[in-house]
Amino acid sequence: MVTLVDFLFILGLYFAAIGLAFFFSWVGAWVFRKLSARLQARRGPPLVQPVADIIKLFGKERFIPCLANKFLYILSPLVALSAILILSFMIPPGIPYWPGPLSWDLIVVLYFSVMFSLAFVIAGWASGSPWGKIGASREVAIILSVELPLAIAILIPPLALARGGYGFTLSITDVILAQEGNFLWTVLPNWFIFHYPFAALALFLALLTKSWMRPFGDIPEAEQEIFAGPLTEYGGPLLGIFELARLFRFYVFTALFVDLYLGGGSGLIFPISILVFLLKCLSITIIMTIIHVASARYRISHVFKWFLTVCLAFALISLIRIVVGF
Amino acid sequence: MIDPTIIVVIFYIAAALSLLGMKITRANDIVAVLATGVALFVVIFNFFYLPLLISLPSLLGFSFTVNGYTNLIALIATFIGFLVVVYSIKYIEKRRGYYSFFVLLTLGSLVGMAYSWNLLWVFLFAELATISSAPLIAHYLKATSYEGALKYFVIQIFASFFGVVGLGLIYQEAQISGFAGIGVFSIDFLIASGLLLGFIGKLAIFLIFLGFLVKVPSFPIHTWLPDASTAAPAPISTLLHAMMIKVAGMPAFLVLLMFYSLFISINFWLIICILGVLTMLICVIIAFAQNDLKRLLAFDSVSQMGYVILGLGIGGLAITSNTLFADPVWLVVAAGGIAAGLFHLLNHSLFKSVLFFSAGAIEHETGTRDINKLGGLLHAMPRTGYVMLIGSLAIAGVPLLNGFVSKWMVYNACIAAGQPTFALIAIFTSALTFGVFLRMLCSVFLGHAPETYADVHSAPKSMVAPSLILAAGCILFGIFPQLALGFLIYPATYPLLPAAIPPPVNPLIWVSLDVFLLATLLFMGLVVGYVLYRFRWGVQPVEADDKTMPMTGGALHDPYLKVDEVRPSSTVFAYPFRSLLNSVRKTHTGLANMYVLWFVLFALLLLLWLFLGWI
Repeated sequence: MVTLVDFLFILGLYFAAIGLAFFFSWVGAWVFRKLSARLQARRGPPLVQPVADIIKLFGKERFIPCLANKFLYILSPLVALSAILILSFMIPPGIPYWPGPLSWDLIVVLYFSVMFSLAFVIAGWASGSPWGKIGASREVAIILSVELPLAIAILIPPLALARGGYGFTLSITDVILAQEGNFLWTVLPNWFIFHYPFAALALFLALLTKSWMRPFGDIPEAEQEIFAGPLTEYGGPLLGIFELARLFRFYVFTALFVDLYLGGGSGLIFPISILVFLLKCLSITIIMTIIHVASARYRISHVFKWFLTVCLAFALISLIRIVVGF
Repeated sequence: MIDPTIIVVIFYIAAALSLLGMKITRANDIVAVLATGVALFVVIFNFFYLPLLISLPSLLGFSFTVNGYTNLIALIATFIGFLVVVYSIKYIEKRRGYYSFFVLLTLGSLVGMAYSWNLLWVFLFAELATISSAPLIAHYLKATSYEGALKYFVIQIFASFFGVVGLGLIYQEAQISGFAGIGVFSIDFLIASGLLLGFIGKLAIFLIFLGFLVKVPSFPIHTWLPDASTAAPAPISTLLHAMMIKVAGMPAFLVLLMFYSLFISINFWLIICILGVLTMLICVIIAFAQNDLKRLLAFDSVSQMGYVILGLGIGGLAITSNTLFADPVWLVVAAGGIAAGLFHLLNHSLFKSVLFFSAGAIEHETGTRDINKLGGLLHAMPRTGYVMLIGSLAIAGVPLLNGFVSKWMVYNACIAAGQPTFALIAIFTSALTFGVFLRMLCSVFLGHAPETYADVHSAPKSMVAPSLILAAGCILFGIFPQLALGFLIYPATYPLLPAAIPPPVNPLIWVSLDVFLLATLLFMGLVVGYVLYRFRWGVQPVEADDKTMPMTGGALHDPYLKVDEVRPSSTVFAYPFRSLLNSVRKTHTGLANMYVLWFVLFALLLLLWLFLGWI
């Protein structure tokens, strides 16, 4: 049973985690924008730009479109923000024994990532705009196609632990702690990306898509076809909340990958581990940015095809290895 | 403790009364509501006596047992039954006549079935429920409703043939050993006397299992349910989906779990789990392609019953592993799996009745069930719309609603039992369910309202109130799952575990998910967002029309584009599964003969395995 002191402690931790995650995602978003600008031979924004954009939106006037359902129109950005804040609390930011994932496991993480996407779908439909509807339909299609490889790839590390004799666990902390040390004649760190590279690839592709990055991810907001997709009708503070949630996404999904497959901040003492963790996150962001800038957008049916054949096959290779046991 | 015989007798007397006063609609309503209300009260009252497992002396020859399990099933039956009766008051205004009679007869038989601890009585009550619910399905007296009722009836009767043979084999075994009378069918007697330990006993129990599996329904024999529920009026569809398939189907797993010592085989329980997985996956894919609201819900029901089958199958697998390997960890897994299955059973009866009640309200007000014709109903029917939103999100397993907790328990049980593949398929099914319901919600409630439904208004209060209560239940069990687990599910889990298990096995380890804290933090996030939104940044909200018009790039009034009629099409989602859907379409011919053939082939396959000693 949680006492009041425990509860206040957890609440304090929650806001501390949000602060840390905000800082990380700010840096991540800036790296994304600066790098994509440089790759496109533009100059790129200064460091304050990602946050300045959002603050500007909060200074704009509030309005509700005449065709929108008022309740859902206001609720969905709040749900998106709330879900991503919970995720950024649950995913340990390179601190050993992070108390965030108290009793919640990776399945809860998976479901909250779906809840985040759900907010965009409801937003698109509640706003009453045709572009919003089309974007929301595409977002649903993306959720469906990504879900299976994503679930397999997220659950591979704990399943591997269970197979390796650690016992039944689904906790992120256990996965991070298990990645300490080295293997293969102490040449490589004991990260799951070296044990299960195909699952790591599947998770990377799934997270790339869930972050709305090309080649698959930005189908819901394809500017050339449907303006901004689900967010077409949004403006002012509500758009600001959505943009804040999308800012957090730059950190949350990369952090999930780093924690599960790149060892998190394991094996290092406290302040250094956070720095190393941030560097790992940024390197993932850089790879994602390069892929985003370098590739063109696929059609929505291609997403189904890719994720339910190629990407699923990657994930299944690792799963079969675990189930069969070699 | 109140003898449950009273409930059954009350229901039958009320049925007789409503037959007498067939013409007086108001009196019929009062009798039905009173009878179901009293029954609900008795069942809730009995929950306070639960630690005692009581086999009651039979008043009228029924052999009733009150324990956690029977009381949970009876609670589902009476609670949903009460709401169905309340809902019917406004829904079925015309041609009531025998309607009330058959509803009360069905409810009485189902409650009797829920409390019976004697295989013969379970079977007899099941048959009575089948016979008395078939006229309800044909209530509209149209060709389609006759067809649905006939299909239902033929397949059910065919299935009960297996039950008869099973009971006959049991009686034969008893007679060889010198026992006679109805008492030989008592579950306690059969376990204690060890009559069934031979092959004939195994065959008998397996035949009874097959007979009741049709009522669950499981994958290859699910075909009667969508047809029957599409043909029936909405309260009867609710009755079928929210309680009948549970009350009448659970004996299948009751006999398997009670006579687990006959099926000490990992293969057998793996087959049950695979049956559950196939049921959930294939039926949810079929649900994608449906345009009829009720058919969509019906196929999704079958898919959700897959979770129940999977949870109970994992429970049986763990019990078997415990017997084989003598490791007490397996007992915890068994308790977790069975609790997960039962909790999903309870949750499904909550949210599926919300959805069917709302679907009935929509059909009542608009006159159609085609989700491609409906649209924008959230303005006209706000309460139905929000209730259906809650029900759909709960069935899709969105966190902080009850479906999430029970699905989480199923996944955890699968992974703890060393079967992660089942858990992954279940997660994928959950995502597909999410897609099915988002498509349905967006198309029916959001978006553009067609001109034809401009004057639609809210459904009557007696049709909205039941679904409001149930939706409140979904939220309550979602945020405080310990309430349901502690008071309803764990007492129901104990009687299903092997008697050899000492009581200290604590399944409370399965409530490690701290949902309340999660809810608090999520609420904190909502508050942060709302403060950000409402904070006065020095600008006034806009009222001007020109700024609140949709941003369409001028295409809104373009007669060629018709962008305001955009709706989610099933083709986007059904596209990757088109080959599977085509083969399904070819096999679902709609002929009852064909479906009975499926059942026979399925039963023969399983029996062949049994005879070959594979299971």
